[in-house]
Amino acid sequence: MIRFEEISHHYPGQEHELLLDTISLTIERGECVGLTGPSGCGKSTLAHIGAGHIRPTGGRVLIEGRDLTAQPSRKVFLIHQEHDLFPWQRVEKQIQFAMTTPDAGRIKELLRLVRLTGYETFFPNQLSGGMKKRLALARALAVNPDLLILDESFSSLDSQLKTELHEDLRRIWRETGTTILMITHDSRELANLAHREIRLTAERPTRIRKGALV
Amino acid sequence: MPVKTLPVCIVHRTILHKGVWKDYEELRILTTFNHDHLPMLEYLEYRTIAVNCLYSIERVLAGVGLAVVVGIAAGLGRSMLPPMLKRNRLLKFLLEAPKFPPPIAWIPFVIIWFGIGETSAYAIVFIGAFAPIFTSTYEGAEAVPLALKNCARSMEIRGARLLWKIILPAAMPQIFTGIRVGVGMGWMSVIAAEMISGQSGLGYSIQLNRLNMQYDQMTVDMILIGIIGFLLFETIILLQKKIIPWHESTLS
Repeated sequence: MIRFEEISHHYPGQEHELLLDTISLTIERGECVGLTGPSGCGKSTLAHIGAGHIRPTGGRVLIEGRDLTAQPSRKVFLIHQEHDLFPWQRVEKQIQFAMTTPDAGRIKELLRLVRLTGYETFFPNQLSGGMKKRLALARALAVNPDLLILDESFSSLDSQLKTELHEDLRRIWRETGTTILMITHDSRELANLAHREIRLTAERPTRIRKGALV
Repeated sequence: MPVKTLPVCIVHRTILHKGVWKDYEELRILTTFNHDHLPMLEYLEYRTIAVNCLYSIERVLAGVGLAVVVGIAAGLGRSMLPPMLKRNRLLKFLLEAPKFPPPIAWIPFVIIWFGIGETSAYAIVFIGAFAPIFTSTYEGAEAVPLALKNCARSMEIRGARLLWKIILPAAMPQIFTGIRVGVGMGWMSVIAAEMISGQSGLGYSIQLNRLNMQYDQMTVDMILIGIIGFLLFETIILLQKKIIPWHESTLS
């Protein structure tokens, strides 16, 4: 279970203007939760707080009861909006690098899972946008996190590619059962993938609905 | 006029211009039989153009090689300083100000510190090449996208491993830009150093030929400096393609 407990945050020098105001949310193991909300409401900041990249001004992040606030670890892995693949590593190396102990069989398995078999020796700059996203997914799965956060990871892709990637993600989720927090603006993405939606507003997060990802 | 013969024609025109060729011929006859010019005769006898080229190349490679190692280490070290020290104006001044005097201005100091000899030549090249490599490494390391650093931290890659496995490779394109500029600066510095205090090398050759009014030789030296400088530059580009084959410039 992953719990964001009374998270508050403001940027330095803007103490009077809270970006996040005592947000609490719980994600159960194996769940896929969609996090939505208007631009600038703090969704990405919450994602970074979850991944331990930002120390919130208040509250804590608990992973299986352990306080991991502002401690980046393999427990939570965030796939950013922009490409965060290491451009100097070939496809196979990207996945191997993310593992604690290199496992050729697992690398092969992950490449199959994201349909990148045959592209092992390619650099990220030689891949298409969709392939890069799939490689980022494979690498995240190689980390084997308790929580995978997708921060508008598919936002820059065209609708056909998005549909393909939704299918991929659904299949990967079925095979791996990874817990996912998905930040998105796309209602189709939510309908296709998320078990439930949490909407961030100016007030508190609101639980909207249940469904999907089955 | 065929393109191939154009450089030859330019050289000939330069040499023959305003009777320089005649002066050169007269001087050559004079100096050949004048025993006061024995060192120069020795030079003509033993120090061929090729040897001078090799002397200059060796000096630039040694000086730039040292500047690459020290410059990259210092640049990465500076990037690892705490933000408070990075913002410190005095430290910034101390690190930035020594870059501004041109390498040639360091020659008198280098001669005082190391005397006239090979060490001084290496030192001048080092001074010329160090600044661009140091600066580009620091700026390259600072420009590594936060997304990459965060991603590495989520893989529990920290400290020296983060520096070696993430920051250094990510900064390599900018480091290579610095090395290319550094090689150019080093090459110009070594020629200047040889002109002032050298006993060999292309810079020394130019100076000697100037004193003896051997303009044809001077022209050959100048052309060689241009060609070798260009080849050094191209060598770095080839190295860049080998070392960072993933960079857009190589892939395209």
